[in-house]
Amino acid sequence: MKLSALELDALIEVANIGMNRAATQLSALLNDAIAVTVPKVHIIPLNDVASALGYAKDEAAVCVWQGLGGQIAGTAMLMFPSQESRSLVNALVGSVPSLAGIDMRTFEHEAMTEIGNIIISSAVAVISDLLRGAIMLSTPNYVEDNLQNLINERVGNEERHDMNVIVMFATLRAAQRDVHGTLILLLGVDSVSKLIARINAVLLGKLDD
Amino acid sequence: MIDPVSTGSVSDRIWDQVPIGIVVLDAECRVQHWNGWLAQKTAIGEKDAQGKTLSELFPNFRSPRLQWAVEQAITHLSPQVLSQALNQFVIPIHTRFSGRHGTSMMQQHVHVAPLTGRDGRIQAVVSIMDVTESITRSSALIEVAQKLQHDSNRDALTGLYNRRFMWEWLVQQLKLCNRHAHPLGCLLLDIDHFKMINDTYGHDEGDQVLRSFAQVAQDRLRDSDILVRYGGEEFAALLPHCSPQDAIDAAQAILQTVRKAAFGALPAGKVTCSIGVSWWTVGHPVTGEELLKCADKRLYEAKQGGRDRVVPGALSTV
Repeated sequence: MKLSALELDALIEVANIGMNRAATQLSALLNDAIAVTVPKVHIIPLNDVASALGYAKDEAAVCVWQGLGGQIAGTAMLMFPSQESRSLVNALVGSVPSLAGIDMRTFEHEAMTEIGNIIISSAVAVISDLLRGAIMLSTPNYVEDNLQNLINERVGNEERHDMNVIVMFATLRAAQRDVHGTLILLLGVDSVSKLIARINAVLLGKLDD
Repeated sequence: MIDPVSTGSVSDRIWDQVPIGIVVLDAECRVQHWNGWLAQKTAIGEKDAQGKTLSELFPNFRSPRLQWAVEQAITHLSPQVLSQALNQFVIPIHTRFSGRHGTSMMQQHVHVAPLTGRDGRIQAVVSIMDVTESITRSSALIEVAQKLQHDSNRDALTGLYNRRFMWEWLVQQLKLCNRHAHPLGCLLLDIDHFKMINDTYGHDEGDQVLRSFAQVAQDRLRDSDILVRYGGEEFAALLPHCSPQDAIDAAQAILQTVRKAAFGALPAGKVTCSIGVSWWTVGHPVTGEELLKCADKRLYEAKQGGRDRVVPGALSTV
């Protein structure tokens, strides 16, 4: 799906507002200045996700996902490379020594789930305001796997050719370090069309439905 | 408390029987429902809780995170997770056993979800799980890991780092030296005539001299330097970001201080040391083994030269 420059700008604006809201919440929660920046937003077909994200085929990723329902249907996923997620958790919760070679923070999923939950719900809230209708979110889930398996689990075979992916590259700057995460929204063509139509309506000043 | 068998609907009975706290809040964070678990843990009955805000129920209670989560649940139908790792707890409840995790408050994993009532009004259902026990267990494990790590890196007598740690540290440090082109100094120190001290004053006094020597040398080094018990009465000091001249000066400073210090029953002047100094510089990039071997050679020369002295020299002249 091709977007006009104006539509893309509007989508970046939506992502930026969402990330700023998330940053405000994360800063208060972590008692530290947290910045979440959005450098790039793309809409791409599902098959191009892996190459767009630059993940190697079997590269492990940490993912927090929440299902979307209501006005738009699909899945919101926040992904971090495993190592980046671990250093983020260490920076935020404090690192601990390994016990017999086992990194104890490997078992720390809760903090990551909460951070993902805040970022996803902040971004989705802006989209749902834009659509002027509720988007239902499922509870957040934490998974570690390669990108392909993570997506396969959320998208059935028959839906696959009908899916578009909104990719928002975000950088989380916390405790003097940058952690690069990606928020992806796996949406059906209908949902994306609805979102773009709404963005166009707002751009044209047609604020009434 | 509702009778678990005879009264109320099944859902009412479940409400009061589940081993988690459930509180339903409205948009202003006022309690609409308060289950039996919460009543029991907080000693605040449902009737007393009803209609009150959490700050009214718990003076000093303040959780902007919970407020935001409730707002997200109610205005955006967005469920929220509040982890113990980042929040510790949401409802202040004292535990009745000693807090090994450093707090006497119940540690909680909290979940906030939207709940649409029959009238269509949306409220937030907050469920609270007590995770104190697993947090206590994992903090005990972390304590063990910290102690093991500390012990495996330290010499039991002096508390200084041991050789095992030194080699791990040195490998990393030399990589940094290479990358940033900063010099590193290496001192190998040996207490003169230590066998005689041991034989004359006994092993307890000998141990005391080792401990005091470690302290004296440590006091002359920077926080970023590491001091290692290298062998019996032999010590190594590694000084990052330190030029050859600064390494020699540091060695001289230790030598002078040792001369003037009293060591337990031994008066000042009784204990002296010899020090070999080597270095890594961009001009003399050496391996860790070469660095220590060179300092050892210089130390040998200091001993041969009459002890109580510093002998410096880089690898190329070994």
